[in-house]
Amino acid sequence: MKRSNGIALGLMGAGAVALSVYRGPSEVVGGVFTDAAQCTRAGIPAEDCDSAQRTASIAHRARAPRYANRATCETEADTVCEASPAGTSAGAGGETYSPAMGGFTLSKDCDYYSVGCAASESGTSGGGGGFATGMRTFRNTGQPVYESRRWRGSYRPVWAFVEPGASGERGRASLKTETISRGGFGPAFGGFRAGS
Amino acid sequence: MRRLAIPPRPDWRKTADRLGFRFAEMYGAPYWDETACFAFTLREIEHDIEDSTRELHALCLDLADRAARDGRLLTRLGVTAAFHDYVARSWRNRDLEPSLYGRFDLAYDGTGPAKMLEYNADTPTGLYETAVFQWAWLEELRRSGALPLDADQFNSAHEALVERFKAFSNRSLFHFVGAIDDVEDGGTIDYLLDCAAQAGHVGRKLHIDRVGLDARGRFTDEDDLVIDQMFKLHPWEWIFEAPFASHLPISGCRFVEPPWKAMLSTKAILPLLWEAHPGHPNLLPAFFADDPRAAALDAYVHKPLFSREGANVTLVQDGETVAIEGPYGAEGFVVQQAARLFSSPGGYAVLGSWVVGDAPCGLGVREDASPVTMNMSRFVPHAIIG
Repeated sequence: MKRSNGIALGLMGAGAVALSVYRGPSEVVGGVFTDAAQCTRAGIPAEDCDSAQRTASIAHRARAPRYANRATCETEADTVCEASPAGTSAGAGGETYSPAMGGFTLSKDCDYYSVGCAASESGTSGGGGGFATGMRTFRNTGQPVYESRRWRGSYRPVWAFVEPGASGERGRASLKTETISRGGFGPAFGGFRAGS
Repeated sequence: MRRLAIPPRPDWRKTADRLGFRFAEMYGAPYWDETACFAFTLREIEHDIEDSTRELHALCLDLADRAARDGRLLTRLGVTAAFHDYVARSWRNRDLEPSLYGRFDLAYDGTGPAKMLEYNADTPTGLYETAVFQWAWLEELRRSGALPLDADQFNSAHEALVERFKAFSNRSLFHFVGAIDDVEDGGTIDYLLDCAAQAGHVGRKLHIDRVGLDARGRFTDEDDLVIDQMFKLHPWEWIFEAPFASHLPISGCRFVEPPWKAMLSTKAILPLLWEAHPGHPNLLPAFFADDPRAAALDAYVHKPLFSREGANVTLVQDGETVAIEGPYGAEGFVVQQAARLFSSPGGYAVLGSWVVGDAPCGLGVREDASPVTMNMSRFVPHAIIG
């Protein structure tokens, strides 16, 4: 496939938008699986489905964003939320809430999900760990996905979540200074747009 | 490569609203045009466009590498002498000053190799409609059955951008500077800010006119915060002429695109690439205007070193002359052999082939009634079919 698997817009759309590749009316390999059994029924070897679900869960525990309460989580992440998964570096200070994993996808590359990929490479047998189904070759690595509350049936990957509280710009180290002059950076050609 | 007339989605304007596409119409005319689409074969995409783009990108990096060590070459590229060191240092430091993106404009009609018309290395736009709206168009048409379910698109630009933004520091605010109130430039900035946020950055928009300076020569925003990292949708050749320019080397600010892109965002690369790689299948013969060999071209395009949206471009072909007026040209001109564009009753098509980081990752086709692509061109989506 030569195009993006999904598109997420957090800031520029009319509210958060998450779109994923349409996989067709009948479930085809490469879609979202809610569990390993459903993955197996799609004709993928059980061993690969189990591995994918496991690695997706690892990535979910490590990467899912955390919010102070359920309502904020559901509003900002646009997905069903639950108490954050245990066994992670949650830090001190009470319970947090995270998006509930809605399923997993099989991925043929590791670029976006280093946690899941690393676990997959060390955690499965047979080295390369790929298998072919139809035209596509997948690595047996799984990625967690989260169903949109607003757009049912649309799933987004874990990287698409905007960092909780990011809009508050907290914790960023930009130094305060004193401006002595303003407006000398541009433009040289007033009235012309700069893009091309 | 075929142009297929297809019915537009009846509710596409509503979709445009939902997805934040605010410049689907510009200057009172349609810009997004889904009354047609371009269909490519996978081989055309992978062999003729993707591979050619990768090759052209490599040729450009090679030129930059030579120019960074050769002041005469920097001068021929149009880089002001005062900034030779600044630009060359940025090139040597490019592991820490990576490039985000660029767009090659290609002439291609399905026969023969794609030919580079120019390289928008510094301030390319047309990204959102390529990466997002075109992508969503394909998904809807696959879902409705208007296009085959196995139709694809050369377009992983969105994923590539989010991934690429992870190469930049997120220790402090990431400022996005430009004409943020312009519908098209502002839309591009909003989209890139969104991609940056998805990669973990905290971004902030700032109008180009509001950039400040502190006593230590650092650039500041409207809250008097130091700008450590600036995406600027504003060309380097303009910044080099601006009053704050002398503070660039001591500002400590990292720029996107980085200063070394100033070596490539000029039409001067066209004759210099042809000089270094004469006869290359993806290049058109090109010369500086004062080169006697320029006069030997009978069908040619006369372009200023720096210009945007076709301004000051003259096309001479088949005894006809098309001249576009504009404010550019003081720095000199190049002459490039005219290329055969894909033409149909819909107009002339130019392919915008995107590079994010160092990887080709997407295609946006613009169509224009004129063989010189200007800002009244229309964006026509594409699909890979068969």
